[in-house]
Amino acid sequence: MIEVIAQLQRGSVFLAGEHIECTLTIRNIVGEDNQVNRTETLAWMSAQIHCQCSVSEARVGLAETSLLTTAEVTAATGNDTSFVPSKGERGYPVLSTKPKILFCDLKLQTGESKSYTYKEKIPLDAPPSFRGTAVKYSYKITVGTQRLDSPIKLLRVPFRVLVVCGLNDMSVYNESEEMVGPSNPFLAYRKPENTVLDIALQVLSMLTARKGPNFYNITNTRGKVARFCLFKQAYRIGEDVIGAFDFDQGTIPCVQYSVTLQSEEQISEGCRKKGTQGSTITSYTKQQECCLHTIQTHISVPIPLTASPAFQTDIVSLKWRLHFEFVTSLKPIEGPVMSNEPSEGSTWTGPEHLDVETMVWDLPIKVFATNPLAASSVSLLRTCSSIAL
Amino acid sequence: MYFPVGWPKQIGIPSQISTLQEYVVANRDRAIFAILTAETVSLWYSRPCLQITCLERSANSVSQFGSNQKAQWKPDSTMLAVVTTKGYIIFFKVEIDANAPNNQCLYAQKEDRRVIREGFNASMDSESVPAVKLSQMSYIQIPSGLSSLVCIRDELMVATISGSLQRIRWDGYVNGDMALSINSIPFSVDLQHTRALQLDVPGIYFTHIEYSPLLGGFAAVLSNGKAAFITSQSVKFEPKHIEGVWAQDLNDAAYVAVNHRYRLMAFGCSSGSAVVYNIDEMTGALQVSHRLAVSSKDYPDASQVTGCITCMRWTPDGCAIAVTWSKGGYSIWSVFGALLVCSLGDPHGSIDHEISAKQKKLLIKSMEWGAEGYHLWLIAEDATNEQSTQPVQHTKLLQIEFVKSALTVNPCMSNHEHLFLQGQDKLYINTGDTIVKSTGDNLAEGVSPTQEEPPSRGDRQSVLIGNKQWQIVPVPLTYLASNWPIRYTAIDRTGQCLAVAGKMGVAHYALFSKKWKLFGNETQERDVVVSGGLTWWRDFLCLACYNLLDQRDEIRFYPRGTKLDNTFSCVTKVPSQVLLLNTFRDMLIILCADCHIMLYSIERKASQPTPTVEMSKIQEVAIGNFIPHPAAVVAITLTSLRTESAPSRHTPETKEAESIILNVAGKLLMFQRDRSGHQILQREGVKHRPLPFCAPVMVASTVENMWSTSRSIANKSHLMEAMWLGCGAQGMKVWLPLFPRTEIKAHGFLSKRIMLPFHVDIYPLAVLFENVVILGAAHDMTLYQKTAARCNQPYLTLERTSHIYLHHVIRQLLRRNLGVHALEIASCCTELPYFPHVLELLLHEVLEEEATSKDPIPDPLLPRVVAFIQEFPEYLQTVVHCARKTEVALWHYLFTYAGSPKDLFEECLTTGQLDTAASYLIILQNLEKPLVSRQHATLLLDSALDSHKWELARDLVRFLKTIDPNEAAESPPLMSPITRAIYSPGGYITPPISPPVDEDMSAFPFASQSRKRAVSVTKNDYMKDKKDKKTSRSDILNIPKRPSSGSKEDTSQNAEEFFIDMILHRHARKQLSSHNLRDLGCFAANLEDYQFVAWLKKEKLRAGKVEDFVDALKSLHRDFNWPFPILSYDIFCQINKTSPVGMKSGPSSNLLDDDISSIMSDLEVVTVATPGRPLTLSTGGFRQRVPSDPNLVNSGEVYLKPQISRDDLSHTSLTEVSEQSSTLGDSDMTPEQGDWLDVISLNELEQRSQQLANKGPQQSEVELRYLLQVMLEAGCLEWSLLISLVLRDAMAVVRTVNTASLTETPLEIIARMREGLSFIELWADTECLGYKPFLQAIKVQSQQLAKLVETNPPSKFNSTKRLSISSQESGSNTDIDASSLRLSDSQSSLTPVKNLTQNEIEDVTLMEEESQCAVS
Repeated sequence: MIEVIAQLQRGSVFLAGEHIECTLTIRNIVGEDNQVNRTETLAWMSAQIHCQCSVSEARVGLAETSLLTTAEVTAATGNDTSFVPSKGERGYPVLSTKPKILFCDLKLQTGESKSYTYKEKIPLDAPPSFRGTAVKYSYKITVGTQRLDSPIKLLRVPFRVLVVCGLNDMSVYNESEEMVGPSNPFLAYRKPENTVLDIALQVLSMLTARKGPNFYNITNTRGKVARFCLFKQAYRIGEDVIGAFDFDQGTIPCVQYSVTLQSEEQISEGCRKKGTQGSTITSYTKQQECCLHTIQTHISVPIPLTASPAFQTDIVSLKWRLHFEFVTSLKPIEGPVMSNEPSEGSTWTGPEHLDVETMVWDLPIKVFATNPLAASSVSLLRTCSSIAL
Repeated sequence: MYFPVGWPKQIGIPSQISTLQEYVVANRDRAIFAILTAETVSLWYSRPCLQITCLERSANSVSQFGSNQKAQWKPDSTMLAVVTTKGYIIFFKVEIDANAPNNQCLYAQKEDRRVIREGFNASMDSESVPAVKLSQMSYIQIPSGLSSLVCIRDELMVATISGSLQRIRWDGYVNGDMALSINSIPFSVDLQHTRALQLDVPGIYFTHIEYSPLLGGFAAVLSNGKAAFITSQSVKFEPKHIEGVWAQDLNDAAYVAVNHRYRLMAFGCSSGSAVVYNIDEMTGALQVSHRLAVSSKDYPDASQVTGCITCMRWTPDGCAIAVTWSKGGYSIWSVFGALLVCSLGDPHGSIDHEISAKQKKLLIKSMEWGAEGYHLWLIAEDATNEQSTQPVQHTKLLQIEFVKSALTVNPCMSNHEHLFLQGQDKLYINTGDTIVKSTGDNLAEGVSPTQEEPPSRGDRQSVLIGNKQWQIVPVPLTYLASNWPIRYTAIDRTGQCLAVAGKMGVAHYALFSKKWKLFGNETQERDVVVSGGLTWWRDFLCLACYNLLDQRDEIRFYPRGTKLDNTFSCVTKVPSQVLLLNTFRDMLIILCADCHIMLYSIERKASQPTPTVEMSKIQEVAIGNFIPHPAAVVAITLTSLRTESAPSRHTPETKEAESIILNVAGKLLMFQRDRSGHQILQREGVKHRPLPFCAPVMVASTVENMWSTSRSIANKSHLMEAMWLGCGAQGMKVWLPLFPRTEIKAHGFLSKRIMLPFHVDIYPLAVLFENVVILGAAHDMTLYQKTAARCNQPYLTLERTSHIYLHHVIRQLLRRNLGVHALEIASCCTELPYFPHVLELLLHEVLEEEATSKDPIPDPLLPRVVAFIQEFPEYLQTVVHCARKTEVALWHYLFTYAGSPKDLFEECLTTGQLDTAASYLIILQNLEKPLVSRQHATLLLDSALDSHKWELARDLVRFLKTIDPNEAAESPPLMSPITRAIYSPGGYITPPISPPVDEDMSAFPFASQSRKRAVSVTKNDYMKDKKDKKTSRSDILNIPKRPSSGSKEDTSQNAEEFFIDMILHRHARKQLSSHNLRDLGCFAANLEDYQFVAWLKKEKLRAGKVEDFVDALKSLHRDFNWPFPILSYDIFCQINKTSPVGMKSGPSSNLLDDDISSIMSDLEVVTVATPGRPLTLSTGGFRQRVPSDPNLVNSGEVYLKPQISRDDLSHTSLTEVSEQSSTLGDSDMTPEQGDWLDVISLNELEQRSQQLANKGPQQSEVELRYLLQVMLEAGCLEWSLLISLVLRDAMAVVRTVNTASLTETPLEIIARMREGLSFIELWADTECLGYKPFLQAIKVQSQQLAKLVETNPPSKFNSTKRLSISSQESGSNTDIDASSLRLSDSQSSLTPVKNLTQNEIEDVTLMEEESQCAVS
């Protein structure tokens, strides 16, 4: 029996533009039939990356040409011996790289094992991995292999792709070096200093740097509620959104506030099933605090590392925002009052009821990708998968 | 432990009454806080944080009794006693206002006449604010004034300024019988000696007292700065039985705080530090456990800045203590004295000075911990109004939020291996570092994204990717709403499942599904209170709880997969309240409040539809005699550890639960199974009967946390079976197993385990056993611009820290002469990516310590350390790295033991560690004469060139060129510039100033950080490491060029350069003459300013000559991964037919078969030799065709044209050439080529594919073309001919031959070319038929060469001269001509006579253009 193990050594998260490297180990192991000394032969093995896009039919209408349902895929090929990497997958492939042949005619003695490395660049313009309600993009490396006289078997290794926008023209970032192109071909062995990852991280840290706080005076029709300060507008996934509230300047008592981190999934106009179709809101972290007797407080809302950064494709766009709810009192709430009589004290008790109203406010924020290595550490995708042939 | 996060939250209420808060005190369950101002008493609810009520005392009352000072709650929270400045105690009644509507709740929100049942105002949960009424009951005057009051059971104990202790009942009456004077208390140093003395100095009184029922007494601070523990034999604390025990050597005590869980008394002193005492169980004396003093490392002159300690508060769980100082600032310490937080800030200037100055002004008047220690309430004087010179003081109420380690309250084993912290509404997880094994270019992405067979040799390096990212999991608000605060949290072994338990119920979360599971049935949630911790066992959540419905204590198991519901739970009743629980493999251990330990075995039944658990009690152990109080047991665990060497190892693989380990107030007690009995009998007989446990042994003291694992890894048993102890200020300890060596029969005296202490710079929270790393956490500060205006405080974040511990362990073992064990441990860690750093750290630390020691060291450790490191292949590297990170002054000491640097350098050379050798060069440069270092550098340069380390070679050339030849000649060992820089500050112990050394320090995170803080390995560090290494090396070697001033120097420098050039030339010659053209190309390209062409010109008759063309051709193919040409079948047939007569006549088919097979074998050799080229496909394909060959040959190819007689044609062409070589005319392709092309057109398709298959990689082609150009330019025509052949570029051959004929080419070269070509033809005939077509194609050229050889040189020169001139004149024209002619070529019109000269002209011009390009 042959066992094929595919492993993503670096973890399962990559930036678009990076090279993904997958180690494939093929082992001839003693199978159930316990035949020990048998040479097994694999006719070939090839690998490719593909990104499947699946859409909710109820919400997204795509042009007929691009639609290719699962049923069609299987029907079109029918027979077992042709290599259809997206066979059995939902949705249609929006991206697939050229299959690369890793070997042909591999013979393995029992107990022998061989390793190959599949390396491929994820295109810079690839869509990001995304699990929305209407649209899903999912990436996999599909390894196809075939034993002689057997049907093709597919092994899939899922991975996650993060997209850093603004990396389309990498040459911009490499220009500063003396990388005008070596005139001597023998110097080409020197690796370029700036890798996609390096550049992306630089771009990200530039994009998400703190650039001075933004202040928001929150008011309603009757007066001032609070002042909110957001220290930056752009974040990386995994970061905390930190903001500060000042209530001491408010004229309207604010009883309670809540902040919810939300993403907004919007189908692009051309693909909507109904013209009036709105966007889908997904809520993540919610922080709620009673603030009636609070002068200064702050929020710290973590952006989940597993969330998709904001992006836009032809079909769908994702945006992020902070959704605030302020519960304000309709009437001013009196504090303790000094008694005028020297012989009498005074007692103050909090009000039994508060007549309140709730105001909402949406504050858009930008959410970018992060270092894929950090995201890998919490990724739930397995970095290793295997099949037995 | 405890770490602050965020900013302090400021709490306040708009009020007309002045809000100069004085004091804050929480009731027993910390739900309600009483806050005093001078005139008011207000009650606050803790969550939501709202003021419930506020009572203002009348102005008369204030003037009569004085203003409020401090307060004390009655334990049942029904009364509050407030002390005033004039010595009165006013009693207030605290009760729920029965008249309040809305279920006695306040702040119910109404929106549109509808009560929102969301959030904090739901009817009866903890988030609703109770309507509490506060009313004044009675008062009592203490005439002499009172200094302190504590609550003892149902009474208040008041310390008066007159020196008496009075007991006052809560109704305001003095319990006169129990009053006593300080002078009547007999004080002694312990409870055994009867030499107790009463105080005879008048005027002394208790300034502060604190009571602890668990310690059975109260700790007191006396007005003379002494401190004592007041205890009594009787339960009732009757005056006659009261005794005092002095806290010895303490004279400036100011404050006291008692920790009953750990049985400690912390006395704050006026010096700003605190002394923590524990009670000797035997004698009752107070012993100093440790001190809480800010070390000069954390803040210099802390005592000057801090002033006296004003307040200290232990956290509710007793794991940490908060300390405030009179001059401002606060600090948090772990129970055994590790500094967790110090608000004095970082003195090293990472924080803005202005901010830190203001921070110090955070004058805290009073503080109190909130529920579960998630908040610290502070009353601080307002520093923002400081500038305005108002006399009015302002205070503000601040709340600092904390997160704490899950180990503080729930030290179950699965929490050991993850960094897991709990906050009031969030959980923080760090999944730890991952070690990634990757091919070298993984992180720095490779150039060619091709699939290739990875080499199986061990060049895969593993990279540690540090992960500082916290994963934050918010606890759902729906659970928090009714169950805040979270009390217990647990994480499972995989780090994927989390569980939390708050006031009631439990909830769990799976990271992989990102879903929380809460009780579907809220009543089930409300009926269960987790009281003794919770843990994961396999896929079950195990909790020790109290069942409110049935009023009993239970152990419950809930399966993770199902809904959280009691129907799926497995419940076991336990007789008494469970205080702690833990698991070990399939065993559960619990500690009950009745001082019994119960052991259960757990069995998972995979019953349908849900799995269940079966629990059966194995054993019960009574430990009441060994512990002072069950509440003092901090942790309990089952382990497989044993102290004494096991007499017989029955089951070495599956280690059983051998012992119970308890942490009792910091003392580690170990109960081992009693194996002294008849174990063999028992094993054979009833095996279910467990062995009893022996009486405990104390293993260690001042233990905060312990880590052990139940996992086992075969080759790392040393590490896996170690037990780790976190000991606060004392750092860490490891209890290491020492396995008896099999060959040496166990020495009787060798104990089986050894306790090794070492210091760590981080607060440990998790131990990664097999990765030899400790993980911890620390708070970090971020400054936000606005904060200065906000609250002077930086924003605090949580940072993950890590520390490698292996070198500590090794060092300790070496110190104890246990080197064998050290070696065993180290050798199982060699594959860790940071292992070389471990060795370096080890060496560095010992070196620094011993070399800088002022006193002579009787038994230096360095020799042993050096000997130890020598056992590893990293030895040479370790020594040099270490040396370069230490001062030059210490080198002598290092190299006395490590061996002479010269020897080490040479060893590097012989073992091929050239980069390491380069590092030694720096050492040599500093220690030896320049002459010596030059010699060594030369040696290294040779080796570097030989092993193709171009960058190193380049650096070395630069290095050599900078060695001042004058200096080199001088005899005294002068220091080079680097060394001078080091020495210039003078003195013996100089800080390492030299920039290269310094830079190198930063390159290695370990060494640099070992001086400062935690050692952490992160990916960033690694990357930086890599980069810095590179830059630093070149920086070191890149010493700025000396300005060449005098002519004398010039000459010497010239000599110097000549010398270097000689080495380089020698190498180049070697490469060229051994046909390593690719290496030569790399060499020339990488060494700056190497005059490649000029050199080649010189060498063209020497090393540039090619004696063996066939071998050279083969090596070209090999070096450039260039496949040998393969014949397509058709061409094969053609050749077969047109093959020389000799071949035809011979046994053709056999011969051909042989030939083909020899080609095949050749090809296979190539395939093997060049990994990464999947040639197997083509060979395989070809092979299959081979058998059918003969048939095909027999059947013949009908469509082929009858063969033109090649020999004839070539003859004609030869004559043509000879005729027209001297005349100008139109240029054309040779008719042969046209003819050949014609043949190609017939089989075009196959030919094309063939060509593709026969081509090497793109990169190789570019390189070959470049070399071709260079060779042509330099006149190395033999090589250019060979390269042309390899490229199968007929034009290039033509060009080469033309160059030969037109330029002043020595005849011998042409002769060799001619000869070589014929050798190749011969070789192609016999070994590589694939070359035949091409050789045929260039037949003309070979003949031309032959002719050139034959012709008379002088006449040829004349013609060439003329031609070259003309070519220069008519450059542009000929270009156009050539292109038009090419067109006609492609039409393959056999237009007759080829005009070679024109052809030549074109080539020459082309060549000129190209060479110009190359020059520019």
